[in-house]
Amino acid sequence: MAEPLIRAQKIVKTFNTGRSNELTVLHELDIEVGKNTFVLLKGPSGSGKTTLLTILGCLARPTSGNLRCMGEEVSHWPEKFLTRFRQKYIGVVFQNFNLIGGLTAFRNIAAALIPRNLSNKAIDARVRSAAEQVRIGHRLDFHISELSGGEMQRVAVARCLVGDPQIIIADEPTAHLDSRLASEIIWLFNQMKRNGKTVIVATHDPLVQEQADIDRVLCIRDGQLQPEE
Amino acid sequence: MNRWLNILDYAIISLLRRRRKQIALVVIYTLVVAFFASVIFFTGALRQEAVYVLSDLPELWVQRLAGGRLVPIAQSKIDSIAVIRGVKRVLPRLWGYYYDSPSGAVFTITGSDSLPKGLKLLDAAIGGGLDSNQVFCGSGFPETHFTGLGQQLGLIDYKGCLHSFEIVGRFSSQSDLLTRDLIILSPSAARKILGIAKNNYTDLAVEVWNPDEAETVGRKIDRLFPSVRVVTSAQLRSTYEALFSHRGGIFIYGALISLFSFLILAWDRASGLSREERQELGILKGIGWQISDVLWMKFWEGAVISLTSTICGLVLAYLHVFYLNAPLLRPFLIGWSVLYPEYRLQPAFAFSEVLLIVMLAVVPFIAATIIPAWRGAVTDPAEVMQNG
Repeated sequence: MAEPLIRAQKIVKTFNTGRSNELTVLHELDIEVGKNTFVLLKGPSGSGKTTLLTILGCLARPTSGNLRCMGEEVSHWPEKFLTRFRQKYIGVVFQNFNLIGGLTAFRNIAAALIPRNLSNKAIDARVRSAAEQVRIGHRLDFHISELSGGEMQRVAVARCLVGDPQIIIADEPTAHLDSRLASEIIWLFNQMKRNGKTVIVATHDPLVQEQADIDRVLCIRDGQLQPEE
Repeated sequence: MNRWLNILDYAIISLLRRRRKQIALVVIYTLVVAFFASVIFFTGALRQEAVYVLSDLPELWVQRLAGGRLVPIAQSKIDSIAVIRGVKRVLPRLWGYYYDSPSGAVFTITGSDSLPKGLKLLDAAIGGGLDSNQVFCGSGFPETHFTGLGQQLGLIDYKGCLHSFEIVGRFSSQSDLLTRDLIILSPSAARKILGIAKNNYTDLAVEVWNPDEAETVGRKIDRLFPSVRVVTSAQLRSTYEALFSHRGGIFIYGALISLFSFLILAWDRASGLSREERQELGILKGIGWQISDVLWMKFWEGAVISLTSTICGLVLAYLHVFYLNAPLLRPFLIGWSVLYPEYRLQPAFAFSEVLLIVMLAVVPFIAATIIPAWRGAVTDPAEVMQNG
């Protein structure tokens, strides 16, 4: 049997360790995510969804436990290697778009390629290709402030796709969108899965569960996984 | 290589986002650098002028005093001093001041039939010595009287009679401090204008065989002729040094003000990142930027602002000091400029001075930009996700 793309074992995440306000958010979680899978991570606010997502996306390290990703044991890697790994394999769509103000859509998408040793021409080609995938190519020269909420989220998705990651992590990607725009974004995630990517979305938006090509639903409550639906 | 260019490109675009703020910062920093550079250029130019002034001095001067005033010294003293052991040569000098009421300036008149040592003429209409109706002059008199080479220069003697002279030579402006107010007449004409009788001189310049013995020879002259005052070149040099270091002292205050301004600006930069800046760093890290990428980006931001300001400040200081003649600094630095004809500083600064300005203006600013960025860059990118 092939090794899963992501394997998390006994993941614990504690904040403010050793202080009076110490808080354990994740309690010995075990998760396996296979290749080309769409995983929905559900749970109420404060249940630990975002924290789990940051660990699966290599944005943070677990306090204890092991995380294997793309066949590498990454849970104890130093920041430098983790960033390089994330740059190569993982794309992140943040909650609230998290675009960089004052820049055009093009510059926001290109920002993800800046640390890579690519020529201007290569960056331009990749940005335009990613923008076309999410149907925002006609708005590339517009500043972020001139875009609608749906367009901003498309830019955020394009920025995530521009590096051609294997794993896509999204935190509440439809949180601030109306149902029509949310459907467009869900369609984009479906497209990603069809293109062979592994998609992990944390949300409590019922529209995602209705419209997305979900393979697995993981329910998290009080930092512990509930039996799968 | 592409990576560095991409980061530099992002840094410039990033700066242009907050155009107004960055322009204001560049303007303020340019003014601070310009003031500091003006101070450096001005002191450098003055020091250079002083070097010219002091370079061809004789070892000793002998002056005769009466009631504390300088009075003419008789020819007979020359022979008496010339025989003192250690004295090489005694050169009598004719000079004095001339108040020119139309311009309100004071000129220095020197009587000499040849060009004094160390001075160069820019233009000359004659090849040899001066006739009694000819003058060499610095740029002060021609400028204040709108006259020039080949034209007439009128001087009123001590009895009130007007004498006219032809300007046959103009000094090069290489050392304006020395020649700007200078008018050189033939010895007979100088006597007439200054009211010095035949066989009398303003003072005597004494050259000695061994410069190390100048003090000893000076003491001998002092003992032999109690009515005279002996000034050594060392004393004059220390007077000049005291003068320039006093003024240099004032400049130290100026420089300190500039340094404080640098520090305040640096502190403002170092005092922390705004919420947006912190969030941006978090996003950049989240999308794959290393800490070093963030720091390089901030380095370029700081370098672009500080280098732009430094270059603009240096150009502004150069124009202020050498083109506009330092109107903001001159009043308290050249105290006698009210009396002397207006005096123009000559461009003179060392590469080391420019380097010092660049180091003081650029390095602290970049450091003040990078330190808070480093603090922001080491924070966990997951925070951006957690905090939205």
